Amino acid sequence: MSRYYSASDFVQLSNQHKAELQKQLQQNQEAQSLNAQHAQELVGREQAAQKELLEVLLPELSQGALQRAAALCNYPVLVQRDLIGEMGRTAAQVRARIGELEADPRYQDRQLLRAPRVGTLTRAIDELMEFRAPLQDVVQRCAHPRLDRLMQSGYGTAKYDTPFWRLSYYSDWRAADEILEKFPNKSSFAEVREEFTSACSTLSVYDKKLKDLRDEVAAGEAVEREIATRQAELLDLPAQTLEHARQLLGTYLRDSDPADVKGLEQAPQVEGMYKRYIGLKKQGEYLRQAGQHYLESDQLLLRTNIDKLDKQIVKYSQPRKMGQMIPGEVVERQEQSVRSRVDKSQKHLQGYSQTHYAVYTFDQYDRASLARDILWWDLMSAGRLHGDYLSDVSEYRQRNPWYTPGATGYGVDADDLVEAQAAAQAARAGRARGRSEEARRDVS
Amino acid sequence: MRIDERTGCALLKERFTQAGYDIQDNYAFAEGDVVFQMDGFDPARRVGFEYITTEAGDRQELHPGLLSALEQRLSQGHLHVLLIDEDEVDGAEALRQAADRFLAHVRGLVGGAS
Repeated sequence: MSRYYSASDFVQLSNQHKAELQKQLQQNQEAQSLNAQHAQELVGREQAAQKELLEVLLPELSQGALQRAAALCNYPVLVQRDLIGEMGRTAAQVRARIGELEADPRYQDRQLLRAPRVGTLTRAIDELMEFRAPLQDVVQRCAHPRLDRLMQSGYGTAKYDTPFWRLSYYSDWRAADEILEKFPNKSSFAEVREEFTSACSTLSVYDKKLKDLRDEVAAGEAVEREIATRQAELLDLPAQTLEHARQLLGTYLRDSDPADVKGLEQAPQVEGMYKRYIGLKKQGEYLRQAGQHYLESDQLLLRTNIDKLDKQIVKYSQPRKMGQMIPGEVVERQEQSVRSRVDKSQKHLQGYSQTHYAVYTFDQYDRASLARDILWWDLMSAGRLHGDYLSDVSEYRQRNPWYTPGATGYGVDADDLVEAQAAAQAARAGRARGRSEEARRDVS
Repeated sequence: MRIDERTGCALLKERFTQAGYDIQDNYAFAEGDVVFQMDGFDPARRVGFEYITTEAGDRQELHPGLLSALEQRLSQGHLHVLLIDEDEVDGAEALRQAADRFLAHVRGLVGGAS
């Protein structure tokens, strides 16, 4: 008779299964976190390696340095672009602009016009501010929430027609009294009103004049600032041009095939730095792709399985399911499914771990040769790790259909490789001849 | 600072009474076109006050037409009523002062209450 499990037993078992999967998920997540961290670190090292390489390839901005770098890297564009000529033309334009600005009277007469305290514009502004001050004081003393209403209604004049039976009559009165208190030398609001109106009118004229003067000062200062900016630009031009040249070269080295920069073999120190740079680039790529291949999809499957278990747990935890009995086969299937998932996940983790170690710790960049089409993956893995998921490996296969893992160069020099290829081709040709002779014998 | 109808009317009644007026609350005023319930009025001396608030529905009762007719009578000196719109009140102190000044003005026009 087959075994049955009660709902509560099934829930308990499901929780155990879920715990196993969650433990696996946690390991996966830890590996992913480390992968991200190391991938980021490799990016940093790659960038530093590129910077060092570029500084050695192009140590200064000179025609000689550009030509040498162009020749070593097989990048004639570096010379064809005429960066030094371009820099010279830009410098001439900037100098011309500086010349124009320096000829501007606002610059030539800057001391006469804008010197603190003694410049003509400065003094005119100071004078106006002095004249303005007492008038501004009158306006400020009149400030009151009801001031506008008093002025518009004509309070203190014959125009004022608010009747005495309205509250606003007394509110106006009170406001006017409050303002008048601030003018001890005045006896009525009418007198205050007159002085306020006159102050506003004069202030308006002064303020217009002040604005004009300040605009003039600002325009002159803008000329001075532009001259300073242009001079800084001129000083910085060689450094910027050198940086630009390095960026062009950097992009070229990043995107081109190592075989295209075979010229670096003539400069062993530089060649070594270049190999290190490319190697680090590959390490970063491989680590990211290994993470995606081994860990990301695995994580998704683990989560899906955990979600399924959760649904079961919720379902069989309900009171109405209390009496239900679950067939043993169902439980066993679940157990097997979880076991299988955990095993696969462990295998993925192991595969990832081996790859991570091989890629992250690799530092034998000198073993790469620019003379032939090598596969960095083979250098790092010694052909002993699965790498078919790597884009680099599939691209390499397309270029080299005879490729088998480990055959590209780890411990194999160029001549051995050529010999190996010839031997492989001869073997294939021999097998083909053998088959056709057999076919002829069969026919006859 | 807004003052409600009850507080405002109490304050005004206090000032008007102190000035010697015999104020009747919610006086039913009806003369010609002008018919409304005045918040406080001394019918003998024809002096009073009306505190206009939204809360009390004054803005419906004292519609523009009626207000215009009332102010016509005020301008002709037939009676003296202090009109206070709640939106213009600036605190109890300001209201008290307005009331006192109004009463002083009326005294100047028609003589004292007592």
